[in-house]
Order: sequence, then structure tokens, then C-alpha cells
Amino acid sequence: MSAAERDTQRQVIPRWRDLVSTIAHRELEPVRQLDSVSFLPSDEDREGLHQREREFEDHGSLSFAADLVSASLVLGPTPRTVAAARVMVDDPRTPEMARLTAASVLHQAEGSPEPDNDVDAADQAARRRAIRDLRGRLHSNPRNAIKWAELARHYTTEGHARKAINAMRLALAMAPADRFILRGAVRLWVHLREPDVAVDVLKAARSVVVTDPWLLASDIAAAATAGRTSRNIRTARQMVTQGRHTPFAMSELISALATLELVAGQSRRARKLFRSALADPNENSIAQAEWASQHLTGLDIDADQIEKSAEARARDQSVGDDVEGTLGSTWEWLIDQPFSAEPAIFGSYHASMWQRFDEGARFAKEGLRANPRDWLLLNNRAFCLACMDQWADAERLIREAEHLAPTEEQPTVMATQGLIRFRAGDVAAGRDLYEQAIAQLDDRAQRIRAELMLTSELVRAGDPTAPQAAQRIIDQIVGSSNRDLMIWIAFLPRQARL
Amino acid sequence: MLGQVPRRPTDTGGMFSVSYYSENSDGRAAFVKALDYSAAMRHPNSARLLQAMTESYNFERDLLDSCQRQRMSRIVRLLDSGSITDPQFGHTVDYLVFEPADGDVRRALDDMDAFDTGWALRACHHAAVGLQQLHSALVAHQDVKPSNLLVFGEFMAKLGDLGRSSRQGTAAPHDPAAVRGDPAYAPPELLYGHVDPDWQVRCQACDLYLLGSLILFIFTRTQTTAELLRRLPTVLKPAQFGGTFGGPYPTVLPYLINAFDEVTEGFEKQLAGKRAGELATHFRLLCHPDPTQRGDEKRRQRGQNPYTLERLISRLDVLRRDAEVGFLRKSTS
Repeated sequence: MSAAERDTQRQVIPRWRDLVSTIAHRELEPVRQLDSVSFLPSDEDREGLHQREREFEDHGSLSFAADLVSASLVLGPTPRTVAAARVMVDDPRTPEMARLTAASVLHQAEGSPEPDNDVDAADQAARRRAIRDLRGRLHSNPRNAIKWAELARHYTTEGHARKAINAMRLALAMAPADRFILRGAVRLWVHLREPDVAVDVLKAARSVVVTDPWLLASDIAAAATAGRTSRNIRTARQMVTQGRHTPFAMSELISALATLELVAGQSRRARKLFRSALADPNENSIAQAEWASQHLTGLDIDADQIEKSAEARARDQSVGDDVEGTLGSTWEWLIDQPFSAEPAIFGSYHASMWQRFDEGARFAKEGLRANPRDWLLLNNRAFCLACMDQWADAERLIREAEHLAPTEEQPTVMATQGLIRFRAGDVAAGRDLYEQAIAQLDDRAQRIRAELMLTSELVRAGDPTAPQAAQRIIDQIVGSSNRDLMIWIAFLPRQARL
Repeated sequence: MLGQVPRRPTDTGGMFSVSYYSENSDGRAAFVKALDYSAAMRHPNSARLLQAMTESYNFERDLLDSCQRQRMSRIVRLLDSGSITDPQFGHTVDYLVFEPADGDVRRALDDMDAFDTGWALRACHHAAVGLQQLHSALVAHQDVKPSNLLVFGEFMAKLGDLGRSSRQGTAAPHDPAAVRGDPAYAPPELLYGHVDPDWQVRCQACDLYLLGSLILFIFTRTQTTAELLRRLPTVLKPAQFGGTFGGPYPTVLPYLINAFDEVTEGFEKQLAGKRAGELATHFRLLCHPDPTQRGDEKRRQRGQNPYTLERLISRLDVLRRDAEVGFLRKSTS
């Protein structure tokens, strides 16, 4: 067989990022326009600030500068705040904490970004350091729900499911109604293939869920993943009709409802809702719409919007021949959601299809860190390794995949086993395994792909009947107009394609 | 009073009070706070303002008299009070005359060649004693900040400016305001408009926070409210203070606690020596963003007032003595 994709129904399961990124993605914003009004401190409130300003003017020394900078951080800057921050930075006696505060004020005043201390999600060593650091900090101050949720995310990325669950349970106990934590919890349990638990977590926080479109969206998506229907769909529809929330806050919720309509075969309603969700979408809604556009005609997404979502870009670019773009965007998607199997499967499949086996193996390896028991990632990595003639490692992986794959997926694994046998030099066993797999595969495209791979291996093994079989398969693929299969034809050795 | 010297840069006061540094005929210096009614009369809402000023003056004077009677050694002493009429314009001026300080804690810190941990802990200790003296008389200061910790000579610090104080069971003119003291130093719950109906939680917990923030300032020249808010994004800052957050306080609390933990860690990291962790722990108990988590947990569990400062006072004294023999290194500057 070959590397494969998981053809699942995409739901708007919330993204799970660190707090800083979640804020940068605007997902903690107020849900109503009226809530997002900022008032200025009153003149009376600012009187103390002006006093600090006058004192700094008269003294100009460290403590007066520090007092003015601190007051400015609460009450807003004054014309002398930057000068005070500079005094603090320049004075060698300035304590470290005050120096950092002053430097941050100067960065802000100069409009330059502050130094980024965030963990690079792609760096495993950095992630492990982050876990050590978080554990140390939580040991000293254990009542910090945000840090427990962050620890849960790092544990998930490192594949420590039980530890992640424990950390998330503590976060939920400390902040049972918090949007950031509840959405992280939903993502965790969906990731662990326990969407029912995700639904239950939201059920326990129903009073906030029914008032927050971000949580309602997560509830509908988690319930759909669990194969259930959310109890809050009516509330969600009312919320959409009432139009009291910002379009941005509503984008995921409308996408979730649109997905329900799409699955129910209500294409017109789905299209209308998806268009409405794209009025001011978040990254996840763009990705959802891009996925939907491949199942729904007439849903066009602006190039500017696609640009904002790595997943949407990867899906969009994969339709064309932009292999570099597809794989680059998929890496970006995987770095954004490092615990998720989806980008790793998508990347390993597309890299395999374009015969970028080394990159395909790396995608699968990254995905396996957080998903060590994902049979498809094991299969895809085994496929890539076999194609690079590393059949011994491939053998070990495929045995694991065989053990984990559900019965209906066994033919895929069997086909990859066939490939490995071929590469190990056992042509008869390879052929036998491929033929058994082909006989069991229901999906026509998959069957043709397996036949193509078998023929390709037979050509390589010098089987005299293979070139004729190759021609027959090429004709079948051309007749099917399946774009992916057209690319897979390149697996046939050149002489068989002439 | 014979003469007036110009307002000193470190003098503080409300919008319509004027401060003077004065001397009497014996050459004894004093600090005078006079209420500027003439400026208030130009205000568009002058009648209400004049009434509020008079009430504030009376409240502060009575409170200071009461402190005097109870011999509160760490509260700045009121030497005289009264009214005079300006002979030229006929305005009445109410005044309060205080013992003169050498300056406030900021000036003392800047005058040091090198940071003196023992001195700093002594100043913290004196501030804590001052607050405890007030709390014992059911008074909460509400406006503890660096400019209100006055320094007398080398070894004495006292709390000044009771103008924003609150007395349990007595209505004060500024009582209706959510933030009674300077909002730049106010505890976060008040900036978010979360006012607990219980006087102890509302006022004494606020004082504990302000004391913790003062300790942080003395050691790091930062203050807690600024450090918390600078770690929050706009969407989580209070709507009246540069942010857009308008939800209930408990919903923002997890983020404040997260920011607070970072501040505590930064403080502890900066302190050095054997007792550094203990001082950071005291800071933590004083400044926790949840007012119901501040103070002495054991006393809270026993149903006693958790906001008493007795234990902290005794620990600060121990830390000061330790510092003087070198357990806390002089390394914070």
C-alpha cells in the first residue's frame, strides 16, 4: 500500500495554544461590542500620577523615576514616563526587576517588540525544559490554574496522557468557568479520543457555556465528535439570530453550526452560515471553511483569509502542485498544534505522495511523540522508511501498527507490510500480502493505489508481466481523474510509464 | 507660624490641599497641610466640594487626634490644627500641623550609597507596626505608598497622610469610592470594582496589599499593581485602567494569580541569602490578588481575623536582625 490520509469529518475543536498565543489570536477578547470599551482614568485618579511626575522632575533620581513608571503603568503614560524609564535603565543601582519593567516601558514606547521568551514549540529540548520549569514553579505556588493548563499542554505534546489529565483536572478545579482552560480541556479530551469527557466538562460549566459563543462552539464540536447532538444547539441558533456578539466571537460558533448543516446535507444553509462565519473569522474558522470548501461547491475563501491559517493554506496548496508550499504550511500547522496527529498525518501523506520520504518520516515521527499509538502515523512512517530501504525499522513500526489498527484498516497495514517484504527481498511474500490487501480494500482509489504500488515493486523486481499491468493501471487512473492518483503514478519506474 | 518655606517636592496632598514646610518662633520645624478653599470655590461643583473638603478635614483631624491619644508611635504626629482667616482675601484656611520628616522612603533609598537590607527591613517593620496600630483601633489606612512612609532620622519611619483612611463603624467622606487611596497602588480587586461588603476584607485586606507593595518597592523599586497590570493583555486589564475587561472579578482572577506568581518569583530571585524565601512568602501572603487569600491562613481557618499583622511584625524584626548579621546579602541593588 502507501502512506494514507485520515478522511475524518473536521469539527471546530478549539485550538490549544499557550496563553500568550491565545491572547495574540484574540480568543480571550470580550464577546460583546459594549464590553470592549475602555475608559480613561478620571482626573482625580490621575492627580497622584501628576504628583509623581512633578516629583520626578524635581528629583530625577531612581526611586522617583521608578515611582512614576509604576504609576504610569496603571494610570497611563505621562510626557515624562519614558525619561523616567531611561533613568532606571541607565542607573547601575537599579534592581533587576525594576530594570526589566523600565526596559518593557521603553520597548513599548519605541514600538519595538519585547524579547520573546516563549518556548519554541518545535524544539523538544525546550519543551522538556518548559515542563521542568513549570513543575518547579507549581511546586512553589500550586494554586495557579493557568500554569497547570500550560503543563497539561506540554505533557500532551510529549505524549504523557495521564499526567496531562491530572494537570488539567487541577486547572479545572481551580478555574472551572474559565474560557481558556475549558477550551484547552475540550481539546485535550478530544485529542485523547474521549470526546464524551470533553462534553461532560462543558456540561459541568453549563451556566457559562450558554453565554459564551466560544464555549458553545466547543460544546457543539465536541458533541459532534462524540457522535452526539449538543443540548445547546437551540441556544446557539438563538445567539446567532440575536446578533448581540461581535462577529469575531461568533465565528467558531457559526462554523460549528455550518458544519452540522453540511453533515446533514443542507448545503445551502451550510454555505450561508460558512459565509457568515467568515465575516471576521479566527484561524480555526478559516481552516474549517477551507476544509468545508472541499466538500461544498460555491464556498470561496479570500486568499487574504487563507493566508492567516497554516492549516487552511496547507489544505489549499495541496490541491495544486505546490509541494514546497504544502509541506511548509503543514510544518507551520504542526508547530502551532504540536500534539495533534492531523498535521503529522497530512504532512507524512503529502510528503510520501511527492516521494519526499525523509520529510514524510520526520512528519510522522513528530506526530508519534504525542500520539505514540496512532496506527496511521506508524504506517506512514513505516512506508517512508521502507521506501528509503530502511526495512528493518519499518518492520518494527508496522508490527505495532498492525496491533493497533482497527479491523477495517488492516488492509492498509497489510499493503505496507507487502512493500516492506519487497524491499527486504522477499518478492513472493510481498506480492502475497499486497494481493490480500487489494482483495480486502473497499475504497476504489485505495485499491488502485495498492495495485499501483504492487506493480511498481514488481517492475523493480524485474517481473516480466509488470509493464503490461502498469499500463492497465495508468489507464484506470487517467479514467478516474483522481488528482492524487495521478501524482502517485510517479511511483512506477520510468520504463513502465513509457 | 512665623514663616513659610516653599512647597517641597516630596510633599503630597489632594487636589485642593497645599503643603508647606514651616517654622515657628522657636525655630521648630513643622509640616503644614492647609486646605485651599479658594481653589475649590472656582470648581464648577463648588458647594458639594467645599462640603466634602470640610468633612475630610474634620475626619482626618479627629482620626489623628485619636491616634495621638492612643500613642501610635508609627503614625506621624499631629502637632496642631485649626483655622485662620486670610486677612487680605477673607478666606478661611483649615490647617493641620505635623511633625516634620526628613523625607519619604524614596529619598532615603536614593540617598544610600549602597542598598542596606537591614535598614530596608526596619522601614518595612515600622510600616507594618504603623498599620497594626491603626488596625487595632479599627482604622484602615487605605493609602500606604512610598510617599506616605516618612523617614525621621536614620532609624525611624512612620506612616503619614490618613486623609483616605476608613474607620469601622464611622462614615468617612470618601467611603463611597471603590478606590479610596491612590489608584496607582490600589489592590486589583478594587480596580476591577470588586468591593467586598465586609469591612475587614474591603479595608484591612487592602492595607495588607498596600504594605506588601511597599515592601516590594523598597526592595525592587517596582510596585505590585503596576507589575500585575503590565503582565496582563489589554483584554484582561480593568476597563477604567487601560483595558477592556468588564466581567466579574473571579473570572479574571486566574490570570492575576498567574501574573502574581511571576512577580513573586521575580522578587524571590532578586533577593539573595538565607531568608529570601521567607520574605517572598510574606509578600505573597500580603499581596495575593484574591483578598480572601491574604493574611494568616491558620487564623482564617480558626475563624479569627486573618489580617492581623502581629506575626509578620515579629518575623520582619527577626529578618532585620538576621540581615544585620549578614543572612540576607546586601545584593538587591
